[in-house]
Amino acid sequence: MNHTLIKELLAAAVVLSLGIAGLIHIQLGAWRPAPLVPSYIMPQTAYYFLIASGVWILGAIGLFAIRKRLANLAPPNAEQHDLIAVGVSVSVMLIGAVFYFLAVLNIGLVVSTVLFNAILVAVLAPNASLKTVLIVPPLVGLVVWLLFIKLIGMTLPTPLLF
Amino acid sequence: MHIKRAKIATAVSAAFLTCAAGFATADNTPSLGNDPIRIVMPYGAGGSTDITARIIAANAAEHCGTRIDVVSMPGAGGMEGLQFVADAEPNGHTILMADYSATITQTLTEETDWEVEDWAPIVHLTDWKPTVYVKADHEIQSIEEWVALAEAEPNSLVFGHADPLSLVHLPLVLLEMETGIQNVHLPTTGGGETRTMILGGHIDLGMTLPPSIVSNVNSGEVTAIGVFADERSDVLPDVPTFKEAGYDVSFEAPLLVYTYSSVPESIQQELSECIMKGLESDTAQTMSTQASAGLNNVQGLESAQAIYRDTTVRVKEVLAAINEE
Amino acid sequence: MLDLIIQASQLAFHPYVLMYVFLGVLLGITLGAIPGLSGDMAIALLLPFVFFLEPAMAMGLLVGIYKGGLFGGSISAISFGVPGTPGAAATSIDGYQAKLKGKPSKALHTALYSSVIGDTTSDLVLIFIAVPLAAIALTFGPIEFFALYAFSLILIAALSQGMVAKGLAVAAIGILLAMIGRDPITGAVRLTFGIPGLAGGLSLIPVLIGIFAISEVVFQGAKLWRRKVDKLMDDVAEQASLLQGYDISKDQLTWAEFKSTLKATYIGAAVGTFIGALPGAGQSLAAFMSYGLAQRFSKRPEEFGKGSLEGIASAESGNSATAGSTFIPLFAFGIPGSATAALFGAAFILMGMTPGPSLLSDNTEIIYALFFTLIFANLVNLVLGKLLLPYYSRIAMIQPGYMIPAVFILAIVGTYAANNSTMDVWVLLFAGLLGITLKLLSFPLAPLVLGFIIGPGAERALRQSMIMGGGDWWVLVKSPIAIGFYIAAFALILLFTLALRAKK
Repeated sequence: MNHTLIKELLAAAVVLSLGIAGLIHIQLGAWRPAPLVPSYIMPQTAYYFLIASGVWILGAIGLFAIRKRLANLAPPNAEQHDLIAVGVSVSVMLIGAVFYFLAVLNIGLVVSTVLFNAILVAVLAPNASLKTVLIVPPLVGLVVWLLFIKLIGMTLPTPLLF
Repeated sequence: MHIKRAKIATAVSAAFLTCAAGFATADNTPSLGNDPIRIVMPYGAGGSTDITARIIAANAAEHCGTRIDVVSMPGAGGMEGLQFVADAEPNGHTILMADYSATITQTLTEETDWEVEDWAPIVHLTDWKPTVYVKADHEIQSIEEWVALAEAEPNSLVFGHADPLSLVHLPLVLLEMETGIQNVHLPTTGGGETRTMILGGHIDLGMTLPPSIVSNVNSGEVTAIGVFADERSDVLPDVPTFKEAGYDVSFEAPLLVYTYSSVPESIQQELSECIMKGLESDTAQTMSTQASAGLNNVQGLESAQAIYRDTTVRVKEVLAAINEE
Repeated sequence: MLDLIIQASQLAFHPYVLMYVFLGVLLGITLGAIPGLSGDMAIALLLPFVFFLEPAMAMGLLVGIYKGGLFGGSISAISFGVPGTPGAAATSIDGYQAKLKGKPSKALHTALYSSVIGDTTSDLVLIFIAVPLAAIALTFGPIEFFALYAFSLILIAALSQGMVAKGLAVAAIGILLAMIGRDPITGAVRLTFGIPGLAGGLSLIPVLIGIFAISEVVFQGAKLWRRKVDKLMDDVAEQASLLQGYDISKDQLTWAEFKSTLKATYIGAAVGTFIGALPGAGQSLAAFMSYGLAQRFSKRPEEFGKGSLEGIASAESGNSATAGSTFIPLFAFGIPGSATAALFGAAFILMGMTPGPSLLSDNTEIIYALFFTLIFANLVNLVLGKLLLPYYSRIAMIQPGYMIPAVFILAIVGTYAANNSTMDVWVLLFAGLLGITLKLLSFPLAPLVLGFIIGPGAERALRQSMIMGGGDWWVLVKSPIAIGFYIAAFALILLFTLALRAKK
């Protein structure tokens, strides 16, 4: 089993299960009755398309398997992804962003921005030094403050700090 | 071009660009303090509510003693704006401006953290008069012709309105109850889409608010056939009301400024008075006339509360009647 | 007539007005370049000041901001793969690839020139043939709109070479995301997973920026981290490869290259002008549609998605060519066809001019002055853009270790600021996660965004048509325009498959 095959099978599985789950939801869910066409007409069409493309992807895998050309399955210019690095980056950036934004709402925009930026630079920048970690984040904080508070007057709940 | 005005203009925009408008004059009403007041508007920017809010912001600031910002929060069908005001510190610095569909209809039909009574109206800005209109070359050109045709062939006429249960839909429901006629109800994204469909001949009738069709009526593209109000609209004086045509249906939509009920009454009173003062000024009246905002008869706290109570009762009646069907 | 033109030009070319146009374009480019913020937002902020300005100056300022914003969105789209405005999403597909290949300056210049050409075309159409085009726009009712949406979806889904099945699947996911929230016909809340904040549906900006930008930035972050732990480059080599290694003199757009993009630019200008005149269709649809069509008619369709300058030109010209024509319904009927047109409508009202059929006859002078300003602002956009681009292409080459975190933060705060909505930020991060997952499974992302953009319109148009047609499906082909779209869709697919066969 090569990477591409696993990827394609996974893709088909995701697409098919989404489509089937959706159709079940249409059967069981409470949809407010609408005049002339059922109110789930558009989602239903989308679910049919999902199932059809899932079957299509599986069919393509089967066809390639029969012709013993599985190696050619990969679409042109597909990248190989570094899963560990993506995992690290998702946890630092995306999960970090959740905490960052909670901090923006509760502690204050500028302080949180400087802190979050410092963390990101320290973890991600290949040649970060103590000097740049101390200099760059306050600059970003200043830009954010100028732009969003001074120029745009963004509305935020009253923060603890500034 | 008057250079003096140009200079003022430059100064004004320079003030904006360096440090978001500074109109603050903190000489009177110390109890409100110097923090800016935010008027939250649960609609997108650029609509008629937005324009009215900006007229308030520009004129009431000096009377309220601090800057006034207009914040547009159309998220979650406007509910996000209401939530923001409900959650804000109850010091009168975060107020709401909306018609009844946000504070009454949606509160009654959706699950919300507040009740209708939690909104304390402080200023009654104007009454919007829902108006029915058709394309100028349509066979229907009056209320009577509409009712006659709808009675002859039920469900043959397509009627465009904005969101279901909005202030340009409830009057139609009331009229159908009163007369027994039936139309095909076609929800649209709003007044703009309704008007496109009417002008393109895709639908028969539509409902909107007078200021938005005045220019089309004057140029003879559309005919306004009736107004759901007690009296005719100022901007469309030739259009009869449904009452005049013999149908006892009137459903004006008051545009109100609210605070959340946890705001102390003294602050409510103070806000109400300073906004009223601002809107009575000459500049405000000029702006209102230019924008057809109808701010020539702004009423204070008592009137606002009375009309809010009345509207609540009426909306409850209509919703109950719809649910019975 | 000559009198009128002289008076109008005196109004339009008053030094103060010119100053405001410059100021506006500068502000627009800057705000447009920041993800989440667009010219619309700046216009909304400036509305209260409109009353205090002379109409000609106010118009100059607003027009400048609008046009600057349309182009500005492409700067971050090309530099970081992060579309600054919804309209620039299609630009980011090829623009960012071009930058990765060390051609930021070529890409940015292509974007600038095609943006200005598209915009100018659209303005000329507004000035000279607004009335006939407005009449055509009115013939678009729900039936025709549904056909238009179906056409563009087929066009884009079929565009994903070798991945048509996956293209269709993500387009369906995009449509489903758009279904979240209130049912447009019954008003019932659906597919919200019990989250009250989703009742109003997902907004365009967080979904678009999340899918395209957040996912890209996180992948960049992953690459940076890998380099950091593996110490693939020491400091000196890093510096050399990124700053000194980039030679801007080798990255100049040549005349031959510019000429090769012209066909795509014209396609974009035509599509954008037409889509812009339709109320409610929007810049992003125009950009994606012209991108799709340009690929169909390109001599080198296989370059698209890999940094093709034609791809950039078509998307950017399609996006900017909505600028003039979006005013057509507003001027002709007082109908605001887009958020921008609504804001300009509000500005007109505040200045005492009522948008609608009588707008031109009641305010002839000032509207002609506005026409001059529209054209003049394009010139300013060109000059300012040209002056600033060298700096922007250098910024694009700053070490990503410092740029990526800053762009990520700007995207988050900018998305919040666009609607003052906390929900939007959570949607942004969720959309980012979705984008990452789909990228890992090698799904194309453009069809998803297009599905999301046209989903609500397509659903409403379909159900409105059915209501008007009394529940009969045949109503969908009861309009010649609609039939035309369906035939065009099939013809394009047929043409393309035949062309592919011929190449093999």
